Amino acid sequence: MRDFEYHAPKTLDEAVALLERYGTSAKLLAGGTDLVIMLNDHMVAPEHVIDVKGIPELSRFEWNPERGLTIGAAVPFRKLEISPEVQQHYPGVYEAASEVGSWQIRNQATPAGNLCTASPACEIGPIMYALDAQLQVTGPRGQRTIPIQEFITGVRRTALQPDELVIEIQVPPPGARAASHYIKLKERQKMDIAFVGVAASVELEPGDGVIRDARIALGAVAPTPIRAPAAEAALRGRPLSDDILEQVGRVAAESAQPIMDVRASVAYRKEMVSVLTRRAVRQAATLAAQR
Amino acid sequence: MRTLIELTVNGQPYPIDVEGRTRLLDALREKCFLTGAKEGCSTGDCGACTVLLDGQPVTSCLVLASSAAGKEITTIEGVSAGEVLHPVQQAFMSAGGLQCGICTPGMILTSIALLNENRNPTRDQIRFGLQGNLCRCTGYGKIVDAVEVAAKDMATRENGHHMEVKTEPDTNPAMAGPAQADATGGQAPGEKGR
Amino acid sequence: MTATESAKPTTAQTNGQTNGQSNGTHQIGRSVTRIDALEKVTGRAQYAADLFLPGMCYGVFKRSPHAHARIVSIDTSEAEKMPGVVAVITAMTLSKDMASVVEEEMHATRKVVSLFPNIGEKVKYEGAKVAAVAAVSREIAFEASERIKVEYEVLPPVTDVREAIKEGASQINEDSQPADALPDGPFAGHPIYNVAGQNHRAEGDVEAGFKAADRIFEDTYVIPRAHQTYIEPQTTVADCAPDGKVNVWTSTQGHFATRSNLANSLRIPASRINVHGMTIGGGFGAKFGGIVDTYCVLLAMKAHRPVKIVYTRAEEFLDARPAPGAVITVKTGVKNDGTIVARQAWALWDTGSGSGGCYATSRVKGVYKIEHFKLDAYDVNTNKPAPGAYRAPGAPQATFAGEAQINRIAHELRIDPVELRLRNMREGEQIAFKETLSAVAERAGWAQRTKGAHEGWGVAVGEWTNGAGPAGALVSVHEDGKARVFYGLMDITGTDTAMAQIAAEVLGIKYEDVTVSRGDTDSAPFGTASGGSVVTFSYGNAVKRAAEDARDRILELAAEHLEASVEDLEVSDGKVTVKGNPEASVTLAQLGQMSLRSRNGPIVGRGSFSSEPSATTIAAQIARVKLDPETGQLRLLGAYGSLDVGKSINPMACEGQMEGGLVQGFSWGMMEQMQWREDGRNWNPGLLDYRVPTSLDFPDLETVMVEQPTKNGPFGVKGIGEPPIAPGIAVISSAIADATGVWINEAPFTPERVLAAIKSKAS
Repeated sequence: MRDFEYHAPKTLDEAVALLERYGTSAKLLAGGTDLVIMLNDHMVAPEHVIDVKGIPELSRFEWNPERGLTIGAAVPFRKLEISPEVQQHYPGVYEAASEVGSWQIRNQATPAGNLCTASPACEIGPIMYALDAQLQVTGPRGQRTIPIQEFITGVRRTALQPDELVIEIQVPPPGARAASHYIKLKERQKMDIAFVGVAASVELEPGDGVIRDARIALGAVAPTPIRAPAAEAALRGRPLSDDILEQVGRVAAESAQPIMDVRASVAYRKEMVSVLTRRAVRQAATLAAQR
Repeated sequence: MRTLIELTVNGQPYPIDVEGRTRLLDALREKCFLTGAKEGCSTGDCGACTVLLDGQPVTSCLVLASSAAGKEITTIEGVSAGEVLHPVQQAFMSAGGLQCGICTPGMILTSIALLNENRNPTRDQIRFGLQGNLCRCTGYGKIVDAVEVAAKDMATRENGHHMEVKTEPDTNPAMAGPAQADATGGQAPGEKGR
Repeated sequence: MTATESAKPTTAQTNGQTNGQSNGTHQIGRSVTRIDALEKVTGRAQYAADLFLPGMCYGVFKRSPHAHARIVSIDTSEAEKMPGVVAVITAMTLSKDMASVVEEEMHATRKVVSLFPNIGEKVKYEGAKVAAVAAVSREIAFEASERIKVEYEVLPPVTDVREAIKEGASQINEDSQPADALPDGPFAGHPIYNVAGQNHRAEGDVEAGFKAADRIFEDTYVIPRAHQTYIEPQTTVADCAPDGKVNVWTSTQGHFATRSNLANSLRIPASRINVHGMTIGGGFGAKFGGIVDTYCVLLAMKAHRPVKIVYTRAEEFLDARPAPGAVITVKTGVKNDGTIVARQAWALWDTGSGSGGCYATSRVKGVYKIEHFKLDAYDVNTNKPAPGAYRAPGAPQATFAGEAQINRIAHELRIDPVELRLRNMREGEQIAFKETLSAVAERAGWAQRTKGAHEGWGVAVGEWTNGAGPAGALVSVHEDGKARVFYGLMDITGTDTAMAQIAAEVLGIKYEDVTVSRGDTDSAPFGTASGGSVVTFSYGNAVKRAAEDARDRILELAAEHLEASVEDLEVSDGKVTVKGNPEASVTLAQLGQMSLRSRNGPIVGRGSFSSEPSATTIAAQIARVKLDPETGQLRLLGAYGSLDVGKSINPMACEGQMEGGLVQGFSWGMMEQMQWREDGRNWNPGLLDYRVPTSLDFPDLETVMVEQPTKNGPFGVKGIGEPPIAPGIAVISSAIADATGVWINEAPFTPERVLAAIKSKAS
């Protein structure tokens, strides 16, 4: 690992000033579980590392029925995993958060950091797509809001400028009869990377089982997490049935453009998108019906 | 770039000079000469370098030393009180929860953190808690036994000695699933359950 | 002299937590707390990486990024110029007679390979060492290694043994001659290229046997390379004194083996080398020296400073010595009543750039009475690192082929697989195959087994016979009546504890009153390395003899003191008593004190052992699995193991071996595989994509011990470290077949492969 200067700004302004000064020669550090590995492997060699964990605003972690869930950039996965509000209102976020690494990793790693790393297989990506989250970022030109789908632009690429940092992830409140679910396909029970990940968010019409709206997002089957709009459309306005699920799974698999890698083949990944989509939608709908 | 930082390890201050890139694991092993934390993979996948940071287990190979300044760090060397072993250490010995021993410091620290959150875990909850600590020798069964033995021993000591008024152990939500969730975080690292 | 002393854990005993309480004077058969437990739970055990010497530098390797290439040039000048660099070594800097390394494996052939390739020579796998650098810090050493410029002529790689044997395949070892074509089998009729070793065996007449059979089964099994995945990476610290004395502190399964390797490869006398065996963080067959220590010593010699080398996890996968893969075809002829009449095997072992695998093919025969048996097996070179030993080397691979097919035969003949085995198993003195299999079947409730949807049960057995090797030990009894064992045993499985128990048993004292010291190679009597399940058998005999020698001395002193004849004395509970007269006694402490003033001096018993045959043993295992029919994911619901241990010295430690070995075997079937890309580069050089089980991947294990003593083992002990890994792949494959009706013959049984099997059945 090349040496660098370590900075621990205490305020957002300080952090922005550092970013402005150092730009591309700096890397932001939140949990560090991705960055330290990349530093160790000489994949990145910044001259400055800016540790943002000491900035109070970035530790905000709040649930509010009007505004939804706010996850500060320095909030680790573990906080999501043990939050009753997350489990109640965003079961899919709970599932995704608890699938990340190990207990140790979840104590350090942050959802915002994961989104900034923008690995195609990251757990938190698909569920944030399915929940239409957005990221609040700041920089020398002020704050801006970036919808999640515009934030991740490619494999390990984001819309974040070199002098910007994420303040928080904002997840809208779920509808009255809405719920989400996330499933990760893996070989080991834990400590595994997603072969395929599927997140679904389903909202039912009041009083019956007809699906008012659905969002489905897929992970590890494209350069970025992707939505499966055709599958979503197939669900809207219809009650859940095995036939519908079959169709939704098939259509979702068509949206996937996986690659073959050390973990799985293209065909298997596509087929798993279909299976996991069925399961995720069914579970999300079941949870939604209980509300 | 070299800077002087102060780490608080096992309650003791360690003023050390580090580079920006110095990992907590290196600082502990090479600056504080606390070699109980082991390096098995450098990628957070094996858990041999686990230490407690403010009571919570972390893989010290992925933590920069500078980030850990100002926090309470607990290593295996700080787990026993002088010659009196922590019940978890006792239990790993008596239940055969170790063989080559390279995973043992991390395994014990994670177990302590687990028992601090959930004084009466099921075997499944123990297995869940230890998910990030690989052991290649034991097949885990006797490690799970050891944590169970430690939990019973800690309960006996607490009940038997009426040491202090404690609320009943919280069920660790992460170990129990959404239904039993609560927001209890980890306890202070100084609390060894004795 | 330095010695690593294992402090005796006292705290666990005082609060009554020790599982096995002292049973009168019997110290064997007690589940005592490991003798090294205290130092391990307190973080005080010293592993090689925990050593920091004044002035110590760090060594780093320069490695080939190509799987197969010829070295055109190496330029180290930029590296040498870097401030902080203290030594750079390449093939060119080493004298010709020093530029070799002997990698001595317990179960493999002795291999002499170059330390580094010279100009014009080849690198044969990604990560092959081209140079090494030592510098005052790891970072500088790494930086310097990056500045070494190496020019390569890249050659086409070959990674699949089935391709490597074909004419026209890249020749990896250029001096290797093709083997003659075989008359039969899957690769009949063509010369076999890239052969690095071969093994042929024939008993009876297989052709006649197949003719006499009612049914013939033929299957091909594919087993991937697996990494031993000890959690402590390969590590060595070396120092060379001005007088030429070399000190080496290293993670090794045998410090005497390491010494002889170093002496051979450095061409210096063994007496100039002192190897200190540090606490070892897992070895499983992979730590016998050669891949780090020689380089470390050479760097230390050149730098005139201590040098430490610690492998990274990635280096472990690129350039350690994993278990060989194999492609094994098995043909078996049976009678309709299940009698096995003939078996033939053809095997290609993926031995990378080295050799050592084909010798294990005979295990395909299994534990059965088979009149006609034949095998033709080859070590085949591929562009991968050379293989090494991994717990019962070769047995899991060959046992998968042999035992999975036994299960398929049982299924086809509609005979229970346990019953089919019992009908065909060999029997004999000191052998307990049937008892061991029956024991696990009973524990698992095999006869009454039921299964839900997508569930299945699998069973298999794996055989192993422990080796034996030279071992010396001293047992001394001191003025406090306590004893000490001193020897050169490297404890990889808890054997120091067993040795203390054996000494205690013989001396009539408590285990807790025995300490154990491991000497370095300068101080300790010679001892064989810890591999091949030799230790409890071999050192056990040496320690027993040493303790008996000490006991003789004790009796001699007591006879004099008590004015009784030796025949009338008994030793127990820490004292010597005249039989039938409990009043007439003297304690070992008193005798220890008296000995100092006696004619023959202090009580020091000496014991040596060379080699005697042991008796064979099997591990029998059963698994219950549940499959997800839509994803192919496998969940292990139950795991049961039995093992004939001969005699259990420490039941808890025996269970530890049974459980650990079972998990390694099962997980080779469930998830473990080293993978290579088409260009020959390693595809999963890390613990994220090379999966070993976490605490959540296995259920509670149930084990049962069988004790059929062997006459040459101390108290009847058989070596048990290795056998529990042998049946694992076969057990899992058979459980999956029971659930799906499809036999998957390529391990590991990943979700993708299981799903493909399920779908093939459906269509």
